[in-house]
Amino acid sequence: MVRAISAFLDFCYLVRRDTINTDTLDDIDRALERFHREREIFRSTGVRKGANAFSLPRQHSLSHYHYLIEEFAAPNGLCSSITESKHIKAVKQPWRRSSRFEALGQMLITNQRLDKLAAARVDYAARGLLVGPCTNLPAFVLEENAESARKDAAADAEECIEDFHGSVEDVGTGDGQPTDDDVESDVILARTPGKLIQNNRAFSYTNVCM
Amino acid sequence: MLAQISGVPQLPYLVRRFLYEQMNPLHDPDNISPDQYPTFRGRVRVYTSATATYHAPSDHSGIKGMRRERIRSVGSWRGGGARRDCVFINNGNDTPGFCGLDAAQVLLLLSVRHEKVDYPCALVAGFSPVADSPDADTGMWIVEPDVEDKRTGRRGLQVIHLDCIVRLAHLIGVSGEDFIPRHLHHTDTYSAFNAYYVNKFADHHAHTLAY
Repeated sequence: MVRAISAFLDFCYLVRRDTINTDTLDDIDRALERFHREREIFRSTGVRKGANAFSLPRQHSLSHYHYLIEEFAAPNGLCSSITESKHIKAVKQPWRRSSRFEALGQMLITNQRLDKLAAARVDYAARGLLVGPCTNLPAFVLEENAESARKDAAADAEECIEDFHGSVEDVGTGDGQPTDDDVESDVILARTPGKLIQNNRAFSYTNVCM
Repeated sequence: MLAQISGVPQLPYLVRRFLYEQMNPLHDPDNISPDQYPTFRGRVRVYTSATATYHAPSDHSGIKGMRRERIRSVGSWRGGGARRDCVFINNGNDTPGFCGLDAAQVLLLLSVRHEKVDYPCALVAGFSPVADSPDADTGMWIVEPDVEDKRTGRRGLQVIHLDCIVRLAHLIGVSGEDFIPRHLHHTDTYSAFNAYYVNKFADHHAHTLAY
């Protein structure tokens, strides 16, 4: 059972990687094959019974991952319970907001409007309209503010990126991030040193209990 | 004095050896006698934590996203026992996965000032892999503590520069088939077992590193 779970976790974490090459695909296949082999213990001990013991949608979907990764690139952490989570926002809540009379039509309209609002928000954010003071101002003032807000937003964004680390060389987007050396990881000490207290004994770790 | 308080009498020697390595990166400190290591009379500061930041792209933070975590080494954590985290160290082999790494426990986080240069470093107790491949049952690498003196069980210690540290590691004691004694406190786990699993299932970053 430990081997089955180990193989399954290996599969999950391999599929979770952000870059998947042919070696990773081979590892994924091997992990899946190991999992299928080792999970028979659950059938032989009677935990799951019968010919359709493992006929579970999410487990079946594992066998499609290889092909889908080749078609659509790495899932990179896309959760398999997205349908479950979306059900709440897209079905349950609109239904509760409806008058229950011919609810389907109402739910569809609700979803359509929510999508339009989300798209509008993305559009406004891209134009820099959501930065800065609130908008009870005439249109020409708004436009001016939008201009300067856009410039500020762009400058801030650049600062943040420079501040917070260099780019990664394997991405290859080359969109002008100014880096001379690519820093992929860094370890820095805390700002203030600790107090030298009497019981800060590292000694107990310098001996192995024999 | 720090050596006395922390109970590590060989600390001054280890610091001097570390400084020799830093100042002479192409030379092996084992090739010369310890008397030739630089004399050190500078300031040493002890820190309780360090942050490790590394590349971790995700949908949330984009392809250049980084992740930050804290490595702690304190004498008393939240009023209880000591907490000394384990870390992965880059051992210089360019091989991917755990072959290019070592695991070690951070005993002290130090900043050593020598000739007007601050060296952030750490006193670590190392672990070495037991076999050439991961354990067949769990899929995890097994490591055992580096011991300098088998008779007394004294651990092999080293002072390393913080740049060698990659990120936190989680080690699980190999308990075999017996029950774990009731009186074993969780703060003592890293010194209580003869071998440890390197937990690659802690999160996906650990999986990529310790595969």
